[in-house]
Amino acid sequence: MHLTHDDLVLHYYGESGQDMARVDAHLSGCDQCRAALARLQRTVALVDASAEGEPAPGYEATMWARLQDHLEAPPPWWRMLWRRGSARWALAASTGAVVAVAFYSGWRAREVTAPATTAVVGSSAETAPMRTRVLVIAVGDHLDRAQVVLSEVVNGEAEDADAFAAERLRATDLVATNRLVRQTASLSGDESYDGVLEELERALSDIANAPDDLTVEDWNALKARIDTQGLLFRVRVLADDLRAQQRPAISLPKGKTS
Amino acid sequence: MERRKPNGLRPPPSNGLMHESDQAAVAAVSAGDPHAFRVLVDRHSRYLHRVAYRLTGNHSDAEDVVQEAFLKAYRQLGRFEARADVRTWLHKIAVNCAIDMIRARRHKTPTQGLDDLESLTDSATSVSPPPTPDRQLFSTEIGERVTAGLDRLTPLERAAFMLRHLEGRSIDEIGASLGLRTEAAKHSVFRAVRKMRVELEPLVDARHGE
Repeated sequence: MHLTHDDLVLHYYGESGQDMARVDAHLSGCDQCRAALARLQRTVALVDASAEGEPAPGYEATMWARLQDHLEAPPPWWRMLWRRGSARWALAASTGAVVAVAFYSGWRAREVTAPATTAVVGSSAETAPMRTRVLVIAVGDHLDRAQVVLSEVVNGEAEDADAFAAERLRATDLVATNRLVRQTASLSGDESYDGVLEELERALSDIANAPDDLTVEDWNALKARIDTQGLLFRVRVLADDLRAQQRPAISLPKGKTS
Repeated sequence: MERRKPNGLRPPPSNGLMHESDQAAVAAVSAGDPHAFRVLVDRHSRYLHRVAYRLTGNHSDAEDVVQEAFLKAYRQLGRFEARADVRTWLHKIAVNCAIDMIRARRHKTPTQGLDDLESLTDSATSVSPPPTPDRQLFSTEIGERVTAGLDRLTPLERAAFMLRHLEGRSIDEIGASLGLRTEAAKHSVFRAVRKMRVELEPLVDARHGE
């Protein structure tokens, strides 16, 4: 008894399921059914070859005209995070806010520290060191956590899927925070660290988006990318550099006022 | 015999890096410039229309799907990962929008449900005129025949067939997406393939001199 049309369709689409062995065995010994399958394959493959559904010239402009009245400025990042509602994102938002404010304040503090030592008076003199201290703690904490994730991935064993899953979760949280840090740095006009932060974000995204069934080859490729960029080292330098630049900002006003 | 691998309208393989103009546009929109979104519309709307058209079967619905897909993408831009490929992301959103539309239509127009599909198979027996053997006209003829074949399909058959054939979705997934039992989804694909064969096999026969 030959295979039916439905058998052939399921086989062609790889959906034979438990019948696969039976269908394969039959096909291997039946010229007529092999020919029928080949004919089916040639026939439905023609669907791929057609250029069906091509829109009219100028379609892009038409679509933009339909869209633009509906586009509003995107909501603030904190509202977008809040809408998601999960505890993890709420945590990321609060952490990110601290980091962003601290980072921005830190950059500003660094800009004004040297020339402003004579102009720093009253509450500014008191709050600048505090803000700087918050910056060091918040950004340093972010970079330290990123270093741990990168280090675990670079030095981890490919067979240890559970360990990688844990790093992937950490990386997912760090991606959001890193983005805020980058945006804040960009707003402050200081792009000197943008390259490192951008590469860090890519690496964290790669880790966060890695599949559940990560192969040894995938893991090694991930390690190689991090190694090739010297990213772990550069993040460490950035963390140290940032702290080093903040130290005079903390001490100078004290020296002036004492 | 090699089994089918989906390749039709799936996004082209990405090299892992987003196109520079996509990246700049996403960054600009995220920074508060909605007009930068036009770059994405200009680059991807035509492709998304083809995807939507194949699933919905008419240009008007496809336009609605593309519009809805872009609006959803705009609202969800904050969730987009910088390393991901914009076209792949938009493709997924558009397919889901098309499925939503097809499901909504199915509930509104029960006469196009599965129970009535058998009555439509009669139309599949009326074959279009034999294909022209002229090879220069062959690709044009393929397009016309594919269009004619797809026009024979009910909306559900068309969606099930395209999701299986071009999107590489499993029959279980198609059932879940379209709100059908697995057996019903499977039979939608069977009927669709039968109807397409009626329209397209004369071309295959002419090409292979059968």
